[in-house]
Amino acid sequence: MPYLLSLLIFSPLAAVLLAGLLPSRKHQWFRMLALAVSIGQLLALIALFNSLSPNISLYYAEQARWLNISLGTWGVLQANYLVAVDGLSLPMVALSVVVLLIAVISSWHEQKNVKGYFMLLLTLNGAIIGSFCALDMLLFYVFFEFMLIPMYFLIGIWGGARREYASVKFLLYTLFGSILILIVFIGLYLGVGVVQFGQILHSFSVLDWQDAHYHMTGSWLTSSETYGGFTLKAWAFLFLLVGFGIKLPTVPFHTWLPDAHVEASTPISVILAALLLKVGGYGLARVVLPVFPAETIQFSGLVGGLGVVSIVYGGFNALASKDLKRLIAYSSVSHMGFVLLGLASGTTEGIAGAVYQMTSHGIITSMLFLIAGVLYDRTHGRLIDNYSGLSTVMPRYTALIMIAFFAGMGLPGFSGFIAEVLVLLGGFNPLSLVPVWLPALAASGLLLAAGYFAWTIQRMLYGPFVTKGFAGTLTDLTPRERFMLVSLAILTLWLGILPQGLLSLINPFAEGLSRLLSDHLVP
Amino acid sequence: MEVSGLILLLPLAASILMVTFPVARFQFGGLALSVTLAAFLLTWVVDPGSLQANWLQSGNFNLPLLFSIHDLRLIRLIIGISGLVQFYSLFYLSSSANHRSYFSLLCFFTFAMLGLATSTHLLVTFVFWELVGYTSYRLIGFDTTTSSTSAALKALLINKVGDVCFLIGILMLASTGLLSTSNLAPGSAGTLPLLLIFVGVVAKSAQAPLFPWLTAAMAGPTPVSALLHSATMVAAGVLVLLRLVPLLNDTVSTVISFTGGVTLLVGGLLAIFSYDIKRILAYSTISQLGLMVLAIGAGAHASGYLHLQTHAIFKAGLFLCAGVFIHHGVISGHANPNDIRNFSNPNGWLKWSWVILSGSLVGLPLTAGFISKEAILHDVMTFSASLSLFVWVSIPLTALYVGRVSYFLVTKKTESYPLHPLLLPALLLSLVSVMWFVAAITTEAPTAWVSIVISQTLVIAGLFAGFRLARISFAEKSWHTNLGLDGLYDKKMPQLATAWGRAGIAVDRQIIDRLVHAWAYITVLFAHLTSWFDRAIVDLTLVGGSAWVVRFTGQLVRVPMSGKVQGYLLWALFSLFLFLVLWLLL
Repeated sequence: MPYLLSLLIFSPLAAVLLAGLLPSRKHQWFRMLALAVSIGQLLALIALFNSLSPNISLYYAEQARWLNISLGTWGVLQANYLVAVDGLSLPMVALSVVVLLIAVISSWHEQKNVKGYFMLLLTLNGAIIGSFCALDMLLFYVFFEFMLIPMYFLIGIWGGARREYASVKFLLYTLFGSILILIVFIGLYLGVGVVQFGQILHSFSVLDWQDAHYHMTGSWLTSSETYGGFTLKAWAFLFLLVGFGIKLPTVPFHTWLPDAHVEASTPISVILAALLLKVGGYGLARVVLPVFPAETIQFSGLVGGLGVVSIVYGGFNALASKDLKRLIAYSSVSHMGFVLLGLASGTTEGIAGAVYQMTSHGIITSMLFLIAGVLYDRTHGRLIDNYSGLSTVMPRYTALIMIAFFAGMGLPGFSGFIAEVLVLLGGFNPLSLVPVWLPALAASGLLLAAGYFAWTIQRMLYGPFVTKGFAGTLTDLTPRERFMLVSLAILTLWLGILPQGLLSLINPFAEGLSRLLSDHLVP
Repeated sequence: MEVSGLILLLPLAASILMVTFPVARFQFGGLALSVTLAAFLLTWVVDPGSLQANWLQSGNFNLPLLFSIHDLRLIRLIIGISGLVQFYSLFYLSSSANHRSYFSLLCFFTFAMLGLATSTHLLVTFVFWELVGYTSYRLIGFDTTTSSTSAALKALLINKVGDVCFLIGILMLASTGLLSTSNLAPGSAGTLPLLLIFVGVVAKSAQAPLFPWLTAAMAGPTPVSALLHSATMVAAGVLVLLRLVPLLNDTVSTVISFTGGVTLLVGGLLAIFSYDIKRILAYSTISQLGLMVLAIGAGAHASGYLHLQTHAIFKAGLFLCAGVFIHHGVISGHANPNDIRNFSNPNGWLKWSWVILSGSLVGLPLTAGFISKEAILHDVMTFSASLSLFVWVSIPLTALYVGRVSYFLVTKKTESYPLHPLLLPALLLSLVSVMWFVAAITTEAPTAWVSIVISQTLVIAGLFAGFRLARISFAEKSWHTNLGLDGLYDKKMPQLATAWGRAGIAVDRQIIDRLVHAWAYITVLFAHLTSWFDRAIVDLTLVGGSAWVVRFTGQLVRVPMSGKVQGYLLWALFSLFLFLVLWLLL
């Protein structure tokens, strides 16, 4: 099936149009439509995995002409519709399909403005998958921005008490990062080109940007002028680092995350944590490292250091959090620090570990936010100190909390362990670009994770049964909740016990990127 | 797949089966026991061999699952003690306890411990190390009371400190390709990775100063203490240390020996001052583990390993006996069933089990402990005279606390303990202990008669001294419990961690977010400025100005249109005059 990726991207967008025509009072129709789209995407994903031919670096590539606008004396603005998946984006696309399906199931009992909600959710669906598949960076940017507005409304309308503050903060902060990214993208477009028939032909394709032959002499990409001690390429690297780092999120650009996560409703938190954060890591691996290898090496200490700071700082903040969702949000900050460290190490294991961590964390954090959602749905409270002894009334919930929390701690048998070991291996590798004390510090993040997760288990699950601020009875997991949590648990167990399936997919990409970086090392 | 793999996989399968399938309540123990028995029998049937499966590969790093099913004695020891503990648990566990969870965890533990003992790649060993730690956490907190679950948390976190250091050490070695034990040569590993791995050993095998978790772990059910926290799991650290022996250099060996020696003495000392039987046995375990670590550090690896095995037998047996005493105490309604002052003088099988097993602990002849202790004594004296001092001191020290406990048993009124299945495992273990002695003596007669005579004299002296010591009752001091280290682990460390956490939150809220808000305010201020500029200057001057010009011109032009005829006449005559002049000029 040659157009599988376009199908994946545009089926939810087509469903949005369809949903627009449906009457608003038929709530069930919207739910069924979203569910059908998600299940369709899941089937398409299975078909995609079934027909992966080995030894190819890009799968299911599609290319079509898109924009070709003449700007008079300023040349031609040309962008193509170029989508494909490889070892980096295929796990992300798979993760997106699964998480969006879970999000639809989790949204089943949403009552407020159901039509608007599912239309926004479907738009988000198409935009997320589109940004993971796009290889033309203008197309990527369009999808990237397309994610922001639905998210803004989804947090701002269906969120909690401080939702307006959280959604505005999220939007403006991320938009600021996007502007930095756009500046560099435009610069790269203008700096990359080929002379054809007397005319300069630029390109937005990241494959062309990676190729040093296409960097035009005399452009900023080959210039060695320095401004404030850094070349223009270094500034571009830093701009992209900040832009994608805001999304990842890296400390100190992370403060939008706790507010956005806490105020968003459960399915939206799940999408935010599991998918949107990964776009930041994906952008770094897709654009920043391959196009700026020399600068990656130059700034590897900084990037690795930021990763370790995120791990440790995020971990300590999680330890001191009184709100369960805030704790999980900070643990996301901490886990994404491993992604940054893995990428900074520049080794195959480190990069593979970073991609594995993005996938693994997507699954585990979905479980964590669903768990917080189970409690919130019943009691409308999230403060850890208000609950204790939950294991006595909700045994199934307890079992799944144990699985999710221990997976988050990096217990072997779950996917998080594989990811973290690979990242740390990459860091300790003699060929690594980061000094050896950085991964050593990062390993202490594992101790912090054990600390805050196990302490939360102690406070909330054991001891006498107490619920403050809630007087009703607590029911154990409903079949719907059980289905979601158990499916995710099976996924993280599978990726933890049989890692080579996913790793064999990621390894070619990681090897390629690592080789690209090592080629630029000054001997 | 080789049949020997079943030895590991059967307990795992049983564990998963119990959790996922609706099995009737009291069949869990039976299932666990039959699977363990099957695995045990398998060890007599299979040929020693290796198991290998590809697991993880990325870049130049390759991590295969490699298991070596060669040391069948250790494997049988693990499975055998697991089976005896499962049998014991069938009768010990109350009917209201969660049998499914308990037996599933015990089976899973057997699987993980076997994996740990047979894996040859250190990173794979680490995987099982963590799994064993998880099982320990779940089993310590099994009755879900606040005290047991906080003990479980303490065990988890102290072990995690060791785990993290262990992992860093392993990964540092991994980058030099030293992980699978086939290519270990002395001096090929740096001191730092070895020391970091040793920190992991210190935590897992409850060496000083990371031993308080083991004391706290006594909050778990007694069979769990017998299996995990005396015989097998805590020995895991020693097993890893044995594997590293070819790599050890002098610095690391000194650190190891010193840590082992200090732990040996601290454990023995604290055992003398406790009244809680489980606590005494815990300190005894700590002390004996210290002896094993000391032996390895001194170079006496074989005897250290021997002691690990004999210790597993007699310590597990002692815990199982203690369980009977505690059980009896609970039934009799004592306030503190663990207190040795409440124990009665046992009769029959229990008495003999206790005597033989305690004798094994102090190292009296006719027991396995005699063989291993004398071996350690002899070997350590051969390798290092100074370190052997630790061993010499430990002999009467161990006898002291054993004698003290014996006093409380012997001087009580004899009470008849009816033959009950609970007594059988300990009895079996004491028989194994004796048989071990017989087998060892018949294979190789002892030669170091001088040290044997002196050490046995010290043992007898220690036992008598312990007897006399028991008559003195003393006040409870804070250092009697874990040398007062609990203040550090239970209060100071958590306070420090949460203080740092709160500092992080403060940085987030007061500094970073304030900067973000400041940026927002500056932008809004700038917006107000431009808005004022728009209104006051652009709108007022340019737009307003042009409006004013038009209005002024209009007013000017309106002047002639006054509505008065005289005015119009005047303007008309003036215009006519103007046109005439102009016409005349041009």
